[in-house]
Amino acid sequence: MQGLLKRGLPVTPAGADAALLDLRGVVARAVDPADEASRTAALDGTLRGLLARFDDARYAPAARALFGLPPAEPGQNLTVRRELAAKAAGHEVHHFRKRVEPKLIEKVAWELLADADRFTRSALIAPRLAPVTTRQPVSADPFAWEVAEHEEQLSRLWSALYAARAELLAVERLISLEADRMDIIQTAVTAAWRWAAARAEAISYTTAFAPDGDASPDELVALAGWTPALTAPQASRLTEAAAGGASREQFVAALHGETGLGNTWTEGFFARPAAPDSSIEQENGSAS
Amino acid sequence: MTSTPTNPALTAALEAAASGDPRRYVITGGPSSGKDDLIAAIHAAGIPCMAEEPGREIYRKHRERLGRHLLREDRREYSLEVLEAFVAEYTAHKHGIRFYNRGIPDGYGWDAFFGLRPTAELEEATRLYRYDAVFVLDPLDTFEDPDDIVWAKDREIRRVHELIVQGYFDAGYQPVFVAPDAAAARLDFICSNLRLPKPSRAA
Repeated sequence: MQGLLKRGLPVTPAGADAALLDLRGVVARAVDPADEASRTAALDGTLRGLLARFDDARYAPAARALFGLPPAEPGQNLTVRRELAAKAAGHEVHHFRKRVEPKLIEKVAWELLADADRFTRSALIAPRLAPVTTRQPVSADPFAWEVAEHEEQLSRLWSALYAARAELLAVERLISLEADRMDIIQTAVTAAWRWAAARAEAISYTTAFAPDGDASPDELVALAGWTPALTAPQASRLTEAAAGGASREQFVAALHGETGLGNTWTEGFFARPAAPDSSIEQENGSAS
Repeated sequence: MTSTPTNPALTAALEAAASGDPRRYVITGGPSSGKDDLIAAIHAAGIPCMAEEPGREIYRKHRERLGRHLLREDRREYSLEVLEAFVAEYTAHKHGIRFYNRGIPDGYGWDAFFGLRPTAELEEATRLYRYDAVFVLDPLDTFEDPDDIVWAKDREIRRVHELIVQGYFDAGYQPVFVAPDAAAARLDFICSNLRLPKPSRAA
């Protein structure tokens, strides 16, 4: 922040610290996140926005002046800007520099961090839910429609992933209980159906909403749990059979006669678990 | 809809400006920023204003035609169609004051939200068609609940808002931020900023 304060706005590449350019809120606003000039422009816009909305009425003009916004002007050095800021806040300049300025800078820094926090996103974390006590209408706005649609699809994705996880856990529990082999196979087929449906959902979601690869469909579906190793064509065949909201019966009917695939899946569960030091890649196979 | 008494001084100011050069003012902001209420208040005050942002109807048509939500490859076409509508709205206005329900640079926020780079057409239109002032309505909600759980939908809406604001900065504007308040108070603030009589101050 000190480098930024020294030069004031507009932010230039020389005045932009790498840590500030890497803030999530800055990266998210940049037209081209890989381009430092673009992130510098985004940092400039972020700061202007924060300073324009500085919520302390008494010190807002001072904070703006300190960083080079009116009543200060671009190109003025820090001494001049500080004098203007002190005047705007009604303080003697030395008192302002020692007592007020550090607090203003701290507040701007905190606002930047809070802004970055608002841009925290991870496709690999299920949305947190909380009790809803009031209706949540969607405003008539294309952005709002798109955002609501995104949350709909995200919810469908995670419901499918958790459904697959439940069945995969059920298979392992039955194996551990040394349950009847036919019961285990039946549950394993249900797990295959749920896993394949989750993979179809993951493909649909990433195609529409995460095309640049926050997470691949197979990274997402791997969150459901361990599965026997499948070749890419086998994973695709299962996914096709479960796509479009197919029921378990439809899924089984679509795979009728695919004995090899069925055996790979079910026998994979009956096989002795590999030694703990085996790599995850070996264990999980190449589902992609 | 917010009803605002007509202020004769405002009516006179609008009439005086009506034969002069066009003056175009954008009202923008993310969803849940109270934009619709403010636009309604502008209409109620008798100030010329765009009714509904063109993006809505175009979005509905695209959805209807596709039969599914818009994928990445659909968005370019959608964005260009919306841009065309905004340019048509801009160029149709020849004299006097007019408010716009979003403006051409909103396209930057839209593209950024979907991870797209701005089109050459948007860059060109932004350079050619300049607005006289841009007012950003800051969100009415805090987007935070007492347990600090932020709904994904609300978090994303906040993100949309910030991307729209950044789009205007990228386009070379210095937007004026309008704090959360009742529509009438916000319109008074905007009119003061434009040196127009306040609509609520009926003589």
